[in-house]
Amino acid sequence: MPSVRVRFRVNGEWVQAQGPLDRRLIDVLRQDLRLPGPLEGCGQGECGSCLVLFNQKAVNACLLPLFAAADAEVFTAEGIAGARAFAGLPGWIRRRGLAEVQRRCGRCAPGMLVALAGLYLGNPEAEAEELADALSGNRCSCGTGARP
Amino acid sequence: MRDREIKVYRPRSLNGLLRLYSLDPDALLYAGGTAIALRAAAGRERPFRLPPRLIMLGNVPELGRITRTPRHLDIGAGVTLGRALSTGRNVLPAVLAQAIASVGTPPVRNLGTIGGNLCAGREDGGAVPSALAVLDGQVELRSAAGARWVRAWLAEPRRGEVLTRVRIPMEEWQAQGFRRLASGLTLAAAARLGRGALETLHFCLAGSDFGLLRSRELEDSLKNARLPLAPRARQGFLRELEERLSIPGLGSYARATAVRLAGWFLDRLDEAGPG
Repeated sequence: MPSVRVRFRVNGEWVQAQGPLDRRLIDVLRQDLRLPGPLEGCGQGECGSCLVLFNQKAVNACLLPLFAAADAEVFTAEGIAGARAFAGLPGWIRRRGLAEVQRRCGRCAPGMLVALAGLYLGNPEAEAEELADALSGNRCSCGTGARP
Repeated sequence: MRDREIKVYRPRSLNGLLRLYSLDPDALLYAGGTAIALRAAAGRERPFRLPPRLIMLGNVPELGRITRTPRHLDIGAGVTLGRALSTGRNVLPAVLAQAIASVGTPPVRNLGTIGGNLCAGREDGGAVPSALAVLDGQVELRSAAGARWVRAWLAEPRRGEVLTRVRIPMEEWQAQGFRRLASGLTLAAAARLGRGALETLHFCLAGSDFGLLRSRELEDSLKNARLPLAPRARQGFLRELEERLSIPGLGSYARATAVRLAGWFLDRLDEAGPG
């Protein structure tokens, strides 16, 4: 299998990764960079467990091959939690009555945080309907929380 | 295969892309990659079956443009479905906005592109192509040798051709409707109403069993019909539709469901009419 070497930013730091053409971004994030935030779920873009911010948009890291990440800026849930650009995010979530997100079992929380961060960056004045739509790609796999 | 045999091209202009593709027409054009990834999701060991030569489309500015004139709306083939949706309901015809919103989840739509959906996403049930069909959308196919425009729902680029943009005529539709069922059966329709009558009807059904069905003859059968539709006109339309759906492989339940969908839109027309 042919291999590629790619340079991109993860949570504000430049990183370099290498792998076969079919290597996925989620595998690099979890295996090479030891970032536990993006979780492997359905593997086909339906559950939202693996969401990352990719050039400021929430996308499924399980659908992204490594080579497509060249020069991209990627934020995982742990990066969002620590980045100044997202300092207002927890308050923004609270004000919208979505604190319930943080009370779940935890499995879907990183993906939901990324989905909300993507919405926060693109449209901080989002209406309730847009919030619901932004989270429609996140599945609660344990059943502890209803979707906001 | 050795590493040095891999080529990932990243052209930064449309001319550069066309030149590259003419030199290497066997290379894979890669935009959002969702169709490739989702198609291969069943074989988890090798999720991305890719040839060793790829042309990435993400850095070609011409493919990422959305322009609007009084006569038409142009959407670059590299515009993601999510970005197209965010142009707003005042710009995007409602039937197309609903069709795009029915594709995947928001994160998938942040990756998938309009061009990719038309060229590689056919197995998703034809939501976007059916909406473009009722809007008389066209796509531009360009190669190093020139450009041609074809109907959007028939977009099949030839060797060396790149789908560069979708063009949608800016027309006023008083009634638009879109439904997509869990089975993948899709209805897209748009109508112009005037003086208590149905002036123009555009109507398209799509399904994985039969592809896209749009019939001018069927549409014209209701041309200038008074609203609300007379029971005879309505029943005649639905009966004719059912006959056209007598396609080998399409079961009676799917056929009846398609006719019910059509009836749903005719009901909407009656509601939108003068009553």
